[in-house]
Amino acid sequence: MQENAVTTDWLARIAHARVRGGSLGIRGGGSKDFYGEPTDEAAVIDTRDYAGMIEYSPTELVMTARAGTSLAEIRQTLMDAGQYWPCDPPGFDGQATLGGCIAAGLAGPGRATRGSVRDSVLGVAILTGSGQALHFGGQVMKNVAGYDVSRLMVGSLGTLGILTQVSFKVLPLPQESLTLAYEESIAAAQARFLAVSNSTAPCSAAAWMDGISYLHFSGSLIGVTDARQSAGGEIVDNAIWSRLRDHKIDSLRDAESLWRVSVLPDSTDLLDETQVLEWHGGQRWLCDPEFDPRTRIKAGYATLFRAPKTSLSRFSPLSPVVAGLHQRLKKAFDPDRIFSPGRLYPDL
Amino acid sequence: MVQKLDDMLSTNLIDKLQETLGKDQLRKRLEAICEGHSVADRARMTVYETDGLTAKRQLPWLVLLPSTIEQVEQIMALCHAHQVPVVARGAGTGLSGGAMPHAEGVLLSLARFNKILAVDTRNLVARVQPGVTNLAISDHVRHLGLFYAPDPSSQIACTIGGNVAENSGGVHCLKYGLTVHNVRALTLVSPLGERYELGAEAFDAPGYDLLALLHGSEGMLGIVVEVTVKLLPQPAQVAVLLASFAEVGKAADAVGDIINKGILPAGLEMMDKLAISAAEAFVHAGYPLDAAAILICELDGSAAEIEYQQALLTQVLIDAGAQQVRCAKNAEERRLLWLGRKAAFPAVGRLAPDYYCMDGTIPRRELAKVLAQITQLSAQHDLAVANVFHAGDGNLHPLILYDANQSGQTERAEAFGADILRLCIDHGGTITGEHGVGVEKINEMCLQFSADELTLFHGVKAAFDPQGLLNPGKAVPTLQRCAEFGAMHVHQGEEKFPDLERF
Repeated sequence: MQENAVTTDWLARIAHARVRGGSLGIRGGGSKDFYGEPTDEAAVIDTRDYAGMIEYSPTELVMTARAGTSLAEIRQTLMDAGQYWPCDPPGFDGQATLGGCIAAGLAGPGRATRGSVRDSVLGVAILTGSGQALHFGGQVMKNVAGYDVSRLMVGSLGTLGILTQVSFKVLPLPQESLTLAYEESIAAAQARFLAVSNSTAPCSAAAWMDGISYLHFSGSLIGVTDARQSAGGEIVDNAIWSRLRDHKIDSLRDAESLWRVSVLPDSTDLLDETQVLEWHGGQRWLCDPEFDPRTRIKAGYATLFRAPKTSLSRFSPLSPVVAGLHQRLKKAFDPDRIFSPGRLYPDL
Repeated sequence: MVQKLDDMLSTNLIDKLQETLGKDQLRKRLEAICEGHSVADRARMTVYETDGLTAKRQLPWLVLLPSTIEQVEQIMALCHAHQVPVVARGAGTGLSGGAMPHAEGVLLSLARFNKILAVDTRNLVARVQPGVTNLAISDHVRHLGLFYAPDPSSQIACTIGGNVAENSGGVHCLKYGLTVHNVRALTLVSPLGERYELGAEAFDAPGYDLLALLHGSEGMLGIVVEVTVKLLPQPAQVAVLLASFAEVGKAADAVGDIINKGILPAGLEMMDKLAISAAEAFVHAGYPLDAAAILICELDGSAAEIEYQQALLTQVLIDAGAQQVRCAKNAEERRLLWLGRKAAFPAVGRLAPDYYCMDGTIPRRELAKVLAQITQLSAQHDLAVANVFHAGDGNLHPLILYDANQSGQTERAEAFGADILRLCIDHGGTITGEHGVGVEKINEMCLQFSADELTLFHGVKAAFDPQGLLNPGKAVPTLQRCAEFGAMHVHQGEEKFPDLERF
């Protein structure tokens, strides 16, 4: 009954905010407080008050948990059952929650082959800005009844509603996992990544940093052993991937202004300025550039991932038609603009 | 009073006449945009009156077949200015009436958008027009060692635009995902005739994930005019196994055992006795006719991997009670095993004058229970049912056999179908896994969603299509319709029909 008391309290706070014209921030462990435009909501909902596993039976390959459940608990529970969450979202300081991972929509180093956060989402329960408790999607892999509101919530940064519960797809852990390292230039790394993506080698992640390329092979013991034989390189600790994911790498951790650039893997845009190249070449991190990366991208997007006060917008601007769709969707979910106003775009 | 009535009548008549004249002029303008690629003749229009759900038929006002994005923009702008509904259509293979025309509206066929525009072998993406068939993409890139993963059974005919509209799956989606997982970007035309793009060729794009929202939206939100799909390297080797079981329940439970062993097959399909015998008679796939159920399981990977997994899988199947496990020896045998499954619908179609295909999805663990209940329902409604499933992802396709010419059978088939959908909801599933709601399952939407949830869906629709001109009346029922249907899903503790007093 405790959870009912929590969501009832949240609904009361939504009603209060609507009447008073106030705003509500939505916060889990605060591991991604730096992400998005700075906001100053009148009050903050702490989603950790609503935590815990709801349903997990490994055979179904689906986990359902309350949004305030810590990512650490989710990882541990999955690990104990020999499974994992393929999109592998960053936990940064270790305080991340399920709801925050969904709302931010950030995927780990294996994104290019294992899919994005939204790829794994199957269902959500939300509280809307009109004070309604709604369910969308479910616990099944295939579901086309109604619009896909569940996946729409991914990356919406708390601007559409409070996530209370999420169901997502998980997978059996690969039988074997191995990391190979190669000392080379970023151009050589890019060529290597393009070649490996166009092969059947079970390469689940590829990244370059500090003059070294890393390939993560995972899958069946036989598949990984085969790949090892022809891939060359030097075996290193798999821990590199969680360090990269959580920005424990010096360049990513120490940058004051950190840009995330999303382009086609074979693009030469900003390659020379890239400190960390990952997602088989499709994601590039720039640390403290002395220019606006958006001015140097031919096709793709740049996000100001973390920065002190700046006049630059954190997210790439939307086309007028798409911006209009955003505003009207925001209105459908949160007509009084209570939730996280301005965190994604100033007018949302 | 009499005078007044006469005035009203004549005013109405004049309005009607003006409207007709106006519509005639509008028709000519729309036809001119398409440079003659249109159909206004009632007799020639009949090919468009239905999609794969042939029980629902409706002639449109006008069929247009544009071939450029500019033409679509002009058509949409003009239709918007005159408040004319537009229903988009690909190949018309949909099974829920999603492409059923609107009597007063334009049926917008995207069949002439049939070109593969670009294949990028370095970044593994292809840009294609929406009228390209699903299989044509894989055919086009096969010589490059690539393929497009989702493969609905209708892949030889269905178009990629329709796949986006329905978020189509197929027999390989357990491992490779649905259409939404394999499309990177869309170019769309809004109901106002504005062109815009969602997603990106790169791995992500800023803002809300409207790309995901568009998948499975059944032509309600925008007209897809270009699709960027993800391509994958073809697996080195493929193996197909067939396991036969003496009990349906054992076959269903074997599915969970396979996943439990950490095996993720590329495809995992199940057929019951009636479906097996129909498919066998139709394509001679070599299915065991004495089995109560078969599982068809596909593995892919390197030769060595397959050898290992095949041995493991065979053991799991035998432990689960399989009477026989057989592995296709060559490409021809593999093709035959799949052919029987992919031809199951037409094969079952030969058993009775009519069949009604259902599309519920349930959690895998409920499979055995739900199957047993479907058997009970079959006796209760006195209609045979053949069961074909995407077992790996719990997606059921019970095919209810009936004869529309026998009085009362159509109604019984529909009642049987509705009972199956209720069963799926009761077991924590959904009324449609991949065929869409269309017009067919619109009443059952009232069972699965609350009034507030349906209201939010209408809000989403209005954000994209404020005038409600795209595919009106489909996919999401009005609250009034649910009230008339006499059912509304109510979450625990909620008031019944809170928003319905006014009706």
